[in-house]
Amino acid sequence: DANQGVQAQTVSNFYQAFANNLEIIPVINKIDLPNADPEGVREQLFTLFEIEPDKCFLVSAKLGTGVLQLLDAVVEHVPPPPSNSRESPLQIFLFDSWFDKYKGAVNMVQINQGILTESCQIVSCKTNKEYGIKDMGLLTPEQEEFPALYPGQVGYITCNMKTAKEAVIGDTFYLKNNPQPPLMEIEACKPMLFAGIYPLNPSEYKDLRGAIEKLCLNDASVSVSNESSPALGSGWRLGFLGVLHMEVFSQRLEQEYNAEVILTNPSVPYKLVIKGEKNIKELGRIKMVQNPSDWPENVKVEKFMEPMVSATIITPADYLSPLLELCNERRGEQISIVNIDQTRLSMQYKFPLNEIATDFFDALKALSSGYASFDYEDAGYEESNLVKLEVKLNGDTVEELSSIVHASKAVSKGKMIVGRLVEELPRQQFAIAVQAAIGKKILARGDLKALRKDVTAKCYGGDISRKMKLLKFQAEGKKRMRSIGNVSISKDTFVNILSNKR
Amino acid sequence: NRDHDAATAKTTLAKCLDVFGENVSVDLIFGAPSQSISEWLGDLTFVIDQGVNHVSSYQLTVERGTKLARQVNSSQVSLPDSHQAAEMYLEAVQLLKSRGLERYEISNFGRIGYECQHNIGYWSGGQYLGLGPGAHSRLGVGSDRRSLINHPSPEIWHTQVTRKGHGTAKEVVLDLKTVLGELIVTGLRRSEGIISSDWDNLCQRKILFVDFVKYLNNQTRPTGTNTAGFRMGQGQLEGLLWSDRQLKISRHHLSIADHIILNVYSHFLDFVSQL
Repeated sequence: DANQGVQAQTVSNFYQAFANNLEIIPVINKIDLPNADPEGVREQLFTLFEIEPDKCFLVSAKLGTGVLQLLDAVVEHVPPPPSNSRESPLQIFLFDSWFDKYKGAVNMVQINQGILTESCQIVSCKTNKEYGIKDMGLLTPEQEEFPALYPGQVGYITCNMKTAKEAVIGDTFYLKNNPQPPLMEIEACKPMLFAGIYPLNPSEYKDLRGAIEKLCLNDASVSVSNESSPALGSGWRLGFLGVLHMEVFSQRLEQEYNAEVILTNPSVPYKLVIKGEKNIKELGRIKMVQNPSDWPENVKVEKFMEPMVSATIITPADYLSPLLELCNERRGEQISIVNIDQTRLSMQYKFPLNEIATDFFDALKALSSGYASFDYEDAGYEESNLVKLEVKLNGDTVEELSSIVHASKAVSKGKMIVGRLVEELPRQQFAIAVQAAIGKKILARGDLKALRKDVTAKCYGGDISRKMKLLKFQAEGKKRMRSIGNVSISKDTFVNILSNKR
Repeated sequence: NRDHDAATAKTTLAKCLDVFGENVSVDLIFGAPSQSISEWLGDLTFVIDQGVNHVSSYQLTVERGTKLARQVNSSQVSLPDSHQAAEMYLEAVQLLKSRGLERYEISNFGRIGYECQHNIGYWSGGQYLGLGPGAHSRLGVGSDRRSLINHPSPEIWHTQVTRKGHGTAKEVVLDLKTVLGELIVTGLRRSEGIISSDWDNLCQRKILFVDFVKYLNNQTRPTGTNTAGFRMGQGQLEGLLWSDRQLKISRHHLSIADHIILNVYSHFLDFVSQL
């Protein structure tokens, strides 16, 4: 982008392509914009990626400038697909898919070997399902029907796949009765982030379920499992590929389906290594935990591990200081820091995923007046000092408010939750002791005093009707309460504390 | 906006005592702007010293749209905070009791034998007829219990009375939940609470008092009976006392009656839904 220059996404895409030995053609787009600085961007590309300045193509997609030359270069420099034999048994690689309301899943495929025609019956390596070809052709970029596709060609096929989940990206197809090995080992998309989703009104459960199913039709990468909370009722735990994925999904739910939902704080999947023969029999050697209620006792665990990400942050030098502080606060480990031009720096950091899963992006943008950019990728698991933080009211634990935190953050989070509860809980006939604890150790405490005066002054003739009206309304509100021991908590309090208000 | 001052009040009180003797009650408001506890107790003492047998006492409520509301919102006047108001109330209860005026309802105090019979009607499920514009009535019992409201506008009320012989604007038959709900709301404000016969008569024995009491028994752990033989509520029902004949809020909890009444009413609704 001639205007914005190299961004964090640019960096991560470059390294991915580089790692996969792909031919890279550098293109600087939007040179038509008044603030475009193609020279400056050329410099950044050289500094960061050692790309020769004269190899960059200057283009304006909007105006068409330089596009012809670019297409020529693509033809010239990008190596052709492997040209395997037409006579070999059919092997097709599926690399993209989208859902069409009428046609079902439309799949983008590349023919690796053999010839694909409309009469073919193909079978998926991954799902073993069989399909007939409904229609097929090339994208020019419109869908143009062709009766056959040859090795190396990339085209589309529709084959009566009813749901998006049937089309597994990276899958290989072969002709029925002539199985071929898969071209690539596919790992199912690993969700990076989990959030609980509940209908605000339990009566809307069915509608919400329908809305989630429809949205997932077009997005096979969202993982769905049922979950229930005594406070919030029945709902689901959804797995997303990242924060943006989660936000887009919940926004679409609200905007396209008018769904009123409670989205609980995103949590990440932790990996626990279990010790002790008996425990291993019961839980397995490795236990993945997404829900604090599944957290096993410490004695059973040999090692706690949390998911990490490697992140790229690009920022103007002016904002370096506050951003360094932010990264530090989020347990970031700086890997490298480099000037990409006179005013901007690029930093590589390693973060625990749970530190950046919620509001890191917003904080980053806020501290840099919007100028910093951020991107991250899965970086496996590392051992970590994790604990389960619990909340108690007069000694009784409120399970919904439990969370897994890094030991260093336990006190501050404990204090925060205790403070919120003392503010939000309604007073009752007795005092309420609010505590945040790890096991038996109390980290924070707050007290809610007992009610002293709650009485209507007068209650004669006309007052009685008014009082009944009010009482009926209040009694309705009480239905939305949950009791923990003697303390009753309204659903709104849970929503306020648990929900991910952005 | 009162149209009298302290001096007028005093002379009027003296005249009333002259004419009506022992059957005089004084209404006093606490929690007024810049009122101190000692001033308040001083006023109470003065009134008792005059020889009244009954006092009604209310905390000042600021109504929306009044001159006082505007003054409070613009901080021109300051009212005592809820802690001070609670103090004033509790001190008043003590003082009146020491002078022989027993609290028999949250806001009503009288010597034995001088309780207001008219008002007790409201709080025991009695019937009452409202006359005049805006007045409320409760007529009948059980499935025939009706609420009537008279036209609030004096002109319309007057015209209607002249033409139809009554000023009723609206008449509604109440369902049993509401009928007993009203007894809960009013009866629990009394020191003696709700009496089983009032309850059973009011609903024509359709929902028996003892059955509700049995339900309450099941809501509490079997520990609590106090020295007078009452079962004691716990948790949400803390402060509630009951027996087969009576359901009441303990003296110490009367000042948070609204909170307890809400909890009792919620339990009542659950109880009814199980019937």
